[in-house]
Amino acid sequence: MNKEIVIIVKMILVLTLFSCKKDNNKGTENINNEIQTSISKKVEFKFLFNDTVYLNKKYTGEILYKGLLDTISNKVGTKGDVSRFIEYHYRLSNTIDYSVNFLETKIKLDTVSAVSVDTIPFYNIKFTKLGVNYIDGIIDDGAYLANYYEDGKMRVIANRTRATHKVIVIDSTSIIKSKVKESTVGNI
Amino acid sequence: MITGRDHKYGFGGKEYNDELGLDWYDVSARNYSPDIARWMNLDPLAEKMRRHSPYNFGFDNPVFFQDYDGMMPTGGTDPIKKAKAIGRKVDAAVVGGIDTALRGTADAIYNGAKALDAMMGGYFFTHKDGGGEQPTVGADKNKIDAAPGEPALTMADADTKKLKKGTKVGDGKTNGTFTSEAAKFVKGLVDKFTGGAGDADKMIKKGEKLAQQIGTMNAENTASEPESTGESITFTNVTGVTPRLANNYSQVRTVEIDSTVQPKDVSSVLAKKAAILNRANEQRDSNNR
Repeated sequence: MNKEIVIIVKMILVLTLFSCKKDNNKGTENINNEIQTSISKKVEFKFLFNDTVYLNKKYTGEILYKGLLDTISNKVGTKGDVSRFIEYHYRLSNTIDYSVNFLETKIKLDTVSAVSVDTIPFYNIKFTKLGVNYIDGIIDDGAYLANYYEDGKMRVIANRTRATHKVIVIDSTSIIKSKVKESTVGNI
Repeated sequence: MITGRDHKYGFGGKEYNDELGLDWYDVSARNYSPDIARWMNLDPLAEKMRRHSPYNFGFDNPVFFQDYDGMMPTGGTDPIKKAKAIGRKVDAAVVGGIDTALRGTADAIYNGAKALDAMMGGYFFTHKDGGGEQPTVGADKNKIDAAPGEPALTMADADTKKLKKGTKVGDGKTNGTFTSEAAKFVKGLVDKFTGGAGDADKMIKKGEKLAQQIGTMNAENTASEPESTGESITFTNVTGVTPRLANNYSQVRTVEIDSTVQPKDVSSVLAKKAAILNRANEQRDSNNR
């Protein structure tokens, strides 16, 4: 009788040890660039910028953006007590191996503003290093509600999203040709 | 269908480009000038292989190295060997993990059973037949009396299995042995689970063989790497979580911040934002002209 009890207790122990695993990914998004889909369709953006660029050449691009605050205001600028401003704070870098906190607080970023709620243009983007580079920054989508509180304080609702675009920087064809010619002449 | 010789397509169907006096072939990922027998484009990842010319192809060893996308030569090791190495790592990690987990479980069960046994008066762990008699305990509770002429044995000795199976401890009255039904049961469990791990091992080896057949387990091959522009990236508004981005994989979230601006600062904050917006509008207008 005692043996049976002990065996039952052992089986309970085994079942308890193989209990349910905690879902650590709850509330997160695992985005694979190949698929580019998500469970919740809320904030979306897309970079309209070359994937491959020439060294030291200026480029223009833009971000197509769809935010969450369009219900508050669907125009950038101020209208009455409600204002909406969307900005992209960015830097050009050959690495993105740092946290968003570092990006926000530790380094200097350029700022461009959206000209409409869905378009953030940026100009004169120039890469000075060959190889893999990134445009890395934060889209700051803010709704500013003046006189929201009775004491005259303004309420600011801001959605901040890290937006990164990868590019490959190559030499221009003329430089390549001249380099090849130099090397050929040198060999002869 | 292109026939005859009056066309621009040469070896491998690659187009001859004579515009602007270039006189080179467009070989998909790079351009080739037959005049000087050279590639005309740098490898974009040339910085990663500084000991080689950025214009070389496959480290001048095209039999051994491949370069599918013009980024950099790949396949420095035999892909089958590489697949095997990866397979071995996966094997060691998975099977080792399962084995450790099972052994940990078995130990926990053993310890639990031992604790229960202690509560029930040492039924299994002291008596082969389950007699219900208490073992003889000496002055020290942790020590079991030794047989005459032998050094005293402790419970710790028994726990660490220093005793051989069936070794008698005590003075002969208690007939205690280390081996018990519980220990046998646990051993059986471990054997069963280890057998399961062995099956997993076999499955992994099958996967490894498949990988060998495919021969594409080359982490450096960027041919299939997607462009980072993407179609659209969607986020949730999870507050206060750090986004992490890595090559070919990203976790991006939108952080929602609700803050308040003091009345005296309202106009300056809005003016600053408006100024940035005006500058953007001016820049757009001048760009459109």
